Amino acid sequence: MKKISTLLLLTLLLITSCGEDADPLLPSQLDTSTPDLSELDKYIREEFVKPYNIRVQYVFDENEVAQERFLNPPRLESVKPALNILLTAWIAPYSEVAGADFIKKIAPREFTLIGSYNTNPSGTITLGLAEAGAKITLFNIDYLDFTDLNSINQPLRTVQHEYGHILNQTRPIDPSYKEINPGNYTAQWFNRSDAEARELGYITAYASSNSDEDFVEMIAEMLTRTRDEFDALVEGIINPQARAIIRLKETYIADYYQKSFGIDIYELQEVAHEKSQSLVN
Amino acid sequence: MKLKNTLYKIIFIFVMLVVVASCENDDDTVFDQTPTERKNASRAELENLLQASDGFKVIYFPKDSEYGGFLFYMAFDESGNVEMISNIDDEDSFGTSQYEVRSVSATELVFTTPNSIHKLSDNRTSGLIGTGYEGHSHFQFNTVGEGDSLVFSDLRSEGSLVFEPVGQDVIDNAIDLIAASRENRSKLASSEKSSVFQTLKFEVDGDEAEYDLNFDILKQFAEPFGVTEESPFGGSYDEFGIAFTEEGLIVSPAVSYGGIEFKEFTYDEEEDNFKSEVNGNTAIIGKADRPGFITDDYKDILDKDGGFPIFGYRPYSWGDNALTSSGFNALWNQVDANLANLGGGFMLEDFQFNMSNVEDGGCESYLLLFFRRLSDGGVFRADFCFSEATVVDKVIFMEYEGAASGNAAYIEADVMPLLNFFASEKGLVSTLEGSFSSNLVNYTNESGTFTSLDNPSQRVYVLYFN
Repeated sequence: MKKISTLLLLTLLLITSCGEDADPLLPSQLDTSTPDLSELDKYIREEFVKPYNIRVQYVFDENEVAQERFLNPPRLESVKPALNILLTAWIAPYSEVAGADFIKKIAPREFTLIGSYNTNPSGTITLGLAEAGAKITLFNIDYLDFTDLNSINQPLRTVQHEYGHILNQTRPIDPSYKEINPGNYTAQWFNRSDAEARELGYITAYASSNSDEDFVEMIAEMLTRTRDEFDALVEGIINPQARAIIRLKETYIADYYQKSFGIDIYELQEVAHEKSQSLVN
Repeated sequence: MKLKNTLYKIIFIFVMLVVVASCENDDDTVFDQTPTERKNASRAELENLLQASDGFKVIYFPKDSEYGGFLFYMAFDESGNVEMISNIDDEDSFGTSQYEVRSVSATELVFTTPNSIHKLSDNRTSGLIGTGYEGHSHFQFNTVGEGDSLVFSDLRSEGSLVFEPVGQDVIDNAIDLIAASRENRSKLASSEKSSVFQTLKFEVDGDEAEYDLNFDILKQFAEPFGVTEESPFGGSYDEFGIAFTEEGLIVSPAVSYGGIEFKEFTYDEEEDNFKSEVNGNTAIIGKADRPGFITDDYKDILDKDGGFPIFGYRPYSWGDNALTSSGFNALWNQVDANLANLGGGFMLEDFQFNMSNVEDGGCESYLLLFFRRLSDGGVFRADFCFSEATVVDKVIFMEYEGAASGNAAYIEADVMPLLNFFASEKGLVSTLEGSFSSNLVNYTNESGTFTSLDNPSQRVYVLYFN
């Protein structure tokens, strides 16, 4: 009995001795308030974040880009015009042809904007990058020339290319696309000119790197040209076999858009061209 | 039973000790503030330090193992704006951009919109494609140093920067100070009328040593000759970058000789050089009429059996290299102007020189020069004889012996500046520079230079036919 009393006493001591009152929970020391938004921030919030859940990173952070590259932030005055290209000639055509929710449902979650070119030591220039279908980085937005449709088409082409990857990750292309002409795919694609690649049945030199890039390069080329311009490009190929191969790939792309998403790519092509043309000063 | 009671007592006392010890209230914390409070305080501290000063003088060496450094004056305001000017180019006004002080894993100063500091990471800089000067725009704040200076680290290159506080009078005068630093740069760079040779000299404890600075003006980087064990001077130190200031120049890392380190050099107007003095010892960086050290490259160049005794210069098809000096370009332009006024009107096209002593055309050495008629593009050849190349103290000597063809005789007087170049009375200094490269082409052929010691502003970059 005495032992039990002792144990009870000990237990009480254990419980009560550590029962000192803890400090009351204090408010968070993290600043979670909404920062002051500039006019540019408000524009991004209204046009990209709210409707499409797309973040735009324009304030420079070296950690957002490859560590081995030497890049510079965009000028603030370059940001809105570059974003307007995306709104007008990428989002609006898809919304018009495929429905207002199309981009809302399938889209990259972030755009990072870089002012400078991304020049490689070899002298080639990287125009854009995509990471896992979630983030697209656009380079040299400080150098866009709004009097030149080709210059306006440059970031568009990057986005159409990277968006092609995202679409492909959502609804894969027919696997037989890979078998159309795999013979000349090469990691050394940069040793070819676009014209040389076309004579081998690839729409650009980069398209001859592998079948995935081949597929999205076709999309990018089709959606940044009119149908007549694209036809002229293909008809300019001397090798009839190469010409036929690219026409076959074009059929695959058109079928893919129609069957996977109910989109007539030629209608999308026409609207995209009208919109991008409207951006030329 | 007694033993059992004793055991219970011992257990009781032990348990009580544990209870008391385990509930000890540890109020002694390492920091007075929480991590979040400390981060916020650190960020606020740097913001206050940046905004409290009228401005800063900053010397930034992005990577002193490959490039020199640059001078900046900066002024920060409370709205997140920074004004800065630098000597990286000829921009002669302050640029305004934005900055942020961030607290992530450390407190960082980030230049978030473009300004002159970003020109150091311009990957389209001619001659530095893809990298620029490998500069950055994120800097980790380390400490407040001597003279209330702010010490930062360049996180990606592991370099360091010191922000030295300056008064409003200095900021008001910064445009002139930057101009003065550019002027100091031009005093070391070769020009149309000044020597291509720069030297580094030491006078330490009565011992003297001289090195060819081997200075690359684009990179602002020196790779001195004579730093090997074979050096006749016995000294050794690493390559270094140079930053030009309004007073002179700063080298990084510091150069040393005889255990004495030299870092800051002041321009000496009387001597026309940059001088650093430490305890009566001096180091001097400046122009020279001849190299501080001449390599043995001439042996390979003149070797008739497997060497490079034949070389060419074709600026229109092979492009430009910065090693061809503005002084040589001026010579070329002079000859062009002379030929343009010659009957028929001509221009220089290119040349090749043969020092292989093949007795071709009766010459021991000869200059084969091509010139173009302006009216119809017709190209003509002219041969000029020189004596066999001889060497004295590693310097090549040849004498001009006359025109070897009718065409040569016709243009001889007009191309005399070029003939005098090869017949330099004080000789020619020759080098090997590795494979040929220019703004137009890259060839595996060996390349090199010839510099006239009669007029050391004249240096030509050539391709060796091997």
